[in-house]
Amino acid sequence: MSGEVERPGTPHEEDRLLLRATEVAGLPVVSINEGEAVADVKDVVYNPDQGHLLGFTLNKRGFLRGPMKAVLPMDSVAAIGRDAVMVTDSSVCDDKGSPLADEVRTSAGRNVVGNEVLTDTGRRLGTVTDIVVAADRGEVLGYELQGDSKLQGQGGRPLFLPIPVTLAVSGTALMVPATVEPFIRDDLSGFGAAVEEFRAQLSGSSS
Amino acid sequence: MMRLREAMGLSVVARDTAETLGQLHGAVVDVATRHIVALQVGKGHKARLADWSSVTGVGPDAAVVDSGASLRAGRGDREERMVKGDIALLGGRVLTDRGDVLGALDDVEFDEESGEIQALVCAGVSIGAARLRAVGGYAVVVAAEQSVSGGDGSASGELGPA
Repeated sequence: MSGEVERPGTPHEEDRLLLRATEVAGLPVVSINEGEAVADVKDVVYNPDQGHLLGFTLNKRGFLRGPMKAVLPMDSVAAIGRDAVMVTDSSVCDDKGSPLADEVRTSAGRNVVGNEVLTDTGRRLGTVTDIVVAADRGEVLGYELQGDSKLQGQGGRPLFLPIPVTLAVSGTALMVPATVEPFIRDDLSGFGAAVEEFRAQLSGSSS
Repeated sequence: MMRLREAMGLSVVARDTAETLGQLHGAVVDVATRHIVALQVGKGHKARLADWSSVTGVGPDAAVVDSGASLRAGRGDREERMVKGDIALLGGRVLTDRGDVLGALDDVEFDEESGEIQALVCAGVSIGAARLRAVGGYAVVVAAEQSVSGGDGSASGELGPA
């Protein structure tokens, strides 16, 4: 690692597994204690006010494939991996009545994908195509954007935009500080570190 | 120490009659005690189980059970699914409790006296039996080296005694 100053406190940043929401959708939900797949992830539920996933809506598996009434709150998730969302046992997917389940259900209709991203200096960065999640804690680190042509990297590749822990959302547009621009990446590798640096700068200096 | 794959296909012979009862086609594992608790004789609808207590020995050439009368049908949903092959041990998907697939289960190392499981072998790596969490219809679940479900990672990556 040339030229990088080692920052204590984030030693494992490079090891954190980052996943796009669209990669999590479709993963099986597997119980650790039984080794059974109890559902498939239909979609992730996320509230931009809170900066992390609230949970998942679910599909039934197999012949009866289709949406389930039950939802999986993030509290009941043991781990999100490349190949499965792990829960301790199958009963956690029976949650239909808890306040968290209600929140997951009511939030499920809103969608940040398709929203425009504006900086606080009035520049349009692009349109949200996906969200980037740190698998370990379900924290939302940023968005994948179809950027505006001026910003667009090589050959129309998507851009990865770090976001503050919380941000203002109107339903059609998202507002981010203009200082984010140097931290935009066109590759997910190194994106975790870019998010850390951006957030450290936000909380540290009063520019 | 014995490998389950070596034992697969062995003739299962009754000690009292010297009759061959069938071929060894699998093993029923109790995850809580990490033991093989029964051997599967035959497959499909003819499959029967021999409780480990009725097994007098598993050697290089045969598995011996005390009597043909000790063979029984699968009991309960889990055993029935194992006998039917819905829950696969060898060849089954090995998934960590962090949600990452390690590969297919290549082998199970066990003590041929006690039936105690010593290690799982997956993608050429030996996984200590202490990391086993579940054998289910979707996956064999093992604790990741940095596990979310506690347990000890001390046996991780360690090759079992020869």
